[in-house]
Amino acid sequence: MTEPLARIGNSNRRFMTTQWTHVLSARGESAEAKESLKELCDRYYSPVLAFVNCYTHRDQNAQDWTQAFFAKLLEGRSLDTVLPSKGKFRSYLLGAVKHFLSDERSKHQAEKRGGAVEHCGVEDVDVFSIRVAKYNEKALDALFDRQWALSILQLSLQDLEKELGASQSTRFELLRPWLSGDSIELSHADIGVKLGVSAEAVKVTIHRWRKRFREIVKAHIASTLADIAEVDEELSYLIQVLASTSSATMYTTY
Amino acid sequence: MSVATPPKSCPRCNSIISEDSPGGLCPRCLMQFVAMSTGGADFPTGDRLPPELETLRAAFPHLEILELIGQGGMGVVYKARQTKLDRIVALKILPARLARETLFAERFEREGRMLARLNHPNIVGVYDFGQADGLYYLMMEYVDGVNLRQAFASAHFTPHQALSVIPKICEALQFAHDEGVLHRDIKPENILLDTKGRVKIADFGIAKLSGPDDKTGLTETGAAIGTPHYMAPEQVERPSDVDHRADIYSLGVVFYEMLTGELPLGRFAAPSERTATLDARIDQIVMRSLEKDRDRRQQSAKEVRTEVEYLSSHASDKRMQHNEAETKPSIMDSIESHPRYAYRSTLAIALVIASILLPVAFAMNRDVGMETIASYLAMISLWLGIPGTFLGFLHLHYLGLSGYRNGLMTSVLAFTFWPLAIAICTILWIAGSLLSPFQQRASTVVDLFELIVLPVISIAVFVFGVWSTKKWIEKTRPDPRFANKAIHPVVEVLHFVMKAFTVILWAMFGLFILYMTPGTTGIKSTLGYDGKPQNNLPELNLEIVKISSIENVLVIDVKDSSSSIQMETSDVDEGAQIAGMGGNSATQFRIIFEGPNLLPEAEVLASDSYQGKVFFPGEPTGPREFDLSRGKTVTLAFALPDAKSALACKLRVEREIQEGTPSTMTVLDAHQMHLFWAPCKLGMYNAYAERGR
Repeated sequence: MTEPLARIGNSNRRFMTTQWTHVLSARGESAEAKESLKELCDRYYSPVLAFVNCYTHRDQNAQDWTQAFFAKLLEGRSLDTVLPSKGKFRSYLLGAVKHFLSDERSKHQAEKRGGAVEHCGVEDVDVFSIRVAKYNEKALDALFDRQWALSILQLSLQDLEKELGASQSTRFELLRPWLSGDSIELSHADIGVKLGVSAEAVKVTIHRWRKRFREIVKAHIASTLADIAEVDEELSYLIQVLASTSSATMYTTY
Repeated sequence: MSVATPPKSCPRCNSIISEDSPGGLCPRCLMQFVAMSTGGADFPTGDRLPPELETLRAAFPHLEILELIGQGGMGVVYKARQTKLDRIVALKILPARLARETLFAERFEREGRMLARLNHPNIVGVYDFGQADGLYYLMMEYVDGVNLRQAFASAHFTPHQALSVIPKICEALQFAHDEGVLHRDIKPENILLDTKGRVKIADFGIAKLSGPDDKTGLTETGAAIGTPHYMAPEQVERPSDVDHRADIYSLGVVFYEMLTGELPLGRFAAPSERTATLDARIDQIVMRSLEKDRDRRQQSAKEVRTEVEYLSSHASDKRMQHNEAETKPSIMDSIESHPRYAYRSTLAIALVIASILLPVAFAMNRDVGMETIASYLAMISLWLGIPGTFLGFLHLHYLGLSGYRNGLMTSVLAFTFWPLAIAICTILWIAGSLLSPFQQRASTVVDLFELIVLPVISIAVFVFGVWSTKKWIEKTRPDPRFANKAIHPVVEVLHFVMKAFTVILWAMFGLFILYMTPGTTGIKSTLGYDGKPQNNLPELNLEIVKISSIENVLVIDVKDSSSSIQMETSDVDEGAQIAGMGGNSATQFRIIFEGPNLLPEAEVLASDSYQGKVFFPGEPTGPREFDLSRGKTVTLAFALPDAKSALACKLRVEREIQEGTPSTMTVLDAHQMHLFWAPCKLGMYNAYAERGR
């Protein structure tokens, strides 16, 4: 899907400035920045959608809301408030979506009181259905972060699959579980038999893929950070997020 | 795109893999595996990356590296098994950049030894440290559980849980501080909760060890170390001047975060404003620990612990005790949590008990009657019982305020006991005096103990009472335990009244003692009537001018100061007339020295009327008549057998009338005075004691 991303692991120097740094340094003004922002937004659509879903109590219009949010974000002006030092795209996006939703809510309330307030391009959305009676900000944040981590893994898996090409899709399907550690059920030899190659060859392939997958994940993480030195920190944070929340508990809470 | 898989659980970590999991893989394991490097060129973050697994295995052949369990600025941590001991350990590999710093090896050595000394149940123990193949490592106790940060995220952290965790952290901190080790990086990530609910602090002093990459590599040069939001202001501003109170600040931040889920940034609100269910008294503890000026914080971890434990055990606010059965705090709880007041209450109770037992013991020893016991009680209870009651009342009341709900009633009882007892004793005393008309004011018991020991004790008690009250008042302001408890106005008034009463009593008794000490102080004491005579007898006013001692001889100067009527030893007519007895009679004085244990000679020397040995200096030959007429001073001298008998001796004056035949004598009246206070010059006792042996 993304050309630059595919090269990240191979050419370290070039990506010392991340996409997010691009956006920040240009304050979203330059064409390159706009492109980068659009790309980032595309990638992290699902955490935002999950957040909006929960925030609005699974409102049927959650998708529209999310679209409206991204539309507004890409218009650009909202970036003025972001400080370059602030770092993470994840934090920025979460802050922005919260801001957007509470804005919409107050507009909706103002309208209910009779004030005719312009709707900023979301007139088609049923604002009356937003109900934010009681929400636990911390849990919502955790949900967003979890979804974020999942998106990163999802994107990385897709990228890896794409890189390997259609010719390897069967192998990929078979070997994918090995990306999260050695399989318990199957040995290298078992796989080898299935694929018609030696166990040694399977080992080498897995090693190569793991390495590449690691690079891709880290590159994805890096692309959302202002300072790539924070990659490990962000990575361990995401591990914690995944370890401490499970989707089952998250959804039943709301 | 991922293939939708039915919900299943991960074979490695047992967590449920939801439908939205990427590639149907356990996201947790996938991400963790990404973090755990097995080699190859990685993203260029250089030193921060964990060492390769192969390198590790080579460096630690005696360990079986199991998994990567943590990663951060301070290095990476692996779970590993010590194959020989079959023990699970945590292996921390410090960042490689550190090893390149000059003098690091030396610093590591020094710090490592210190950390290995920290042996405490709430501190993650260090088993070993050193260098292997260029990797600096610490081998530590493995804690099976989560850190506080994860606990925040996974479960709702209740204030009650926070209150149970904080004291344990404090305990560990206090221990380390006593050992001279500062943590310097207290944060939720470093506080571990194991599966059995134990709290353990990890990474003691590691912050110092792996401080920032400054030129000399020595953190002593003054670079700030720690985690920004958890660092005390002075840790940022003057890193070289950091003491244990910086840890207390960091602890405050963690505490605040535990209670509110937020960091105390900028002008932060008090925890109870953020979380409505919180007891407002927590605020004071938290806010105090977050004071910018370290002098205004709690001065030790122990102090924080005491405050928190106090709150958690005596939360009057039921909301604090979520799942616990509602228990009324007992007085023992109060005493345990409030040793200071409990100690004073105990002292006060001891005083009260002493004020009962002492006089009874004295009275028993001297074989005296009820009326004497009553007078002893009245006297000593005034000296000991009143301040005892006063203090007991105050401190029991404070205990009451501190959570023991019956404290007030108990203190009221304590408060009313002695005033009642004193009133009863006084009535007994007066009744006794009325029943035996000869027991006049002069029979009031004053002795050496009362003269010296009691004033000393009383003054000490008074000083102590004033001091403790003052201390209490000082303590009241910053002490959150009493913050919301106003002292009842009635109590305040009683407090004042009791104080004034005690002072007045002591002043009065001081004067009384002076008055009762003849000769030595210039204030004279009389033996006999001082006002209107009874039974129409002429006024009798024998004044004891001076009491002194020469070795074992008690010398008493008696002067007749009767004003209106001439007093002669053979003033026959007048005395008889006044007495209404008429006829040929003569009034005589007899001075009798009475005591239970007089010397054998006393019997020989005593006449029928003298029970003691009476003689005049220079003529120790036996009883003599002496002329006691108005304005004249007579010196009486008594040899005492021992000090104890001196304490029980009485000087007694009888006025007799001789009717008809000289053999018939009728006692008109008698006046007596106890003399124990008299030989107050201890020299006499000592001299006699030596002679006696």
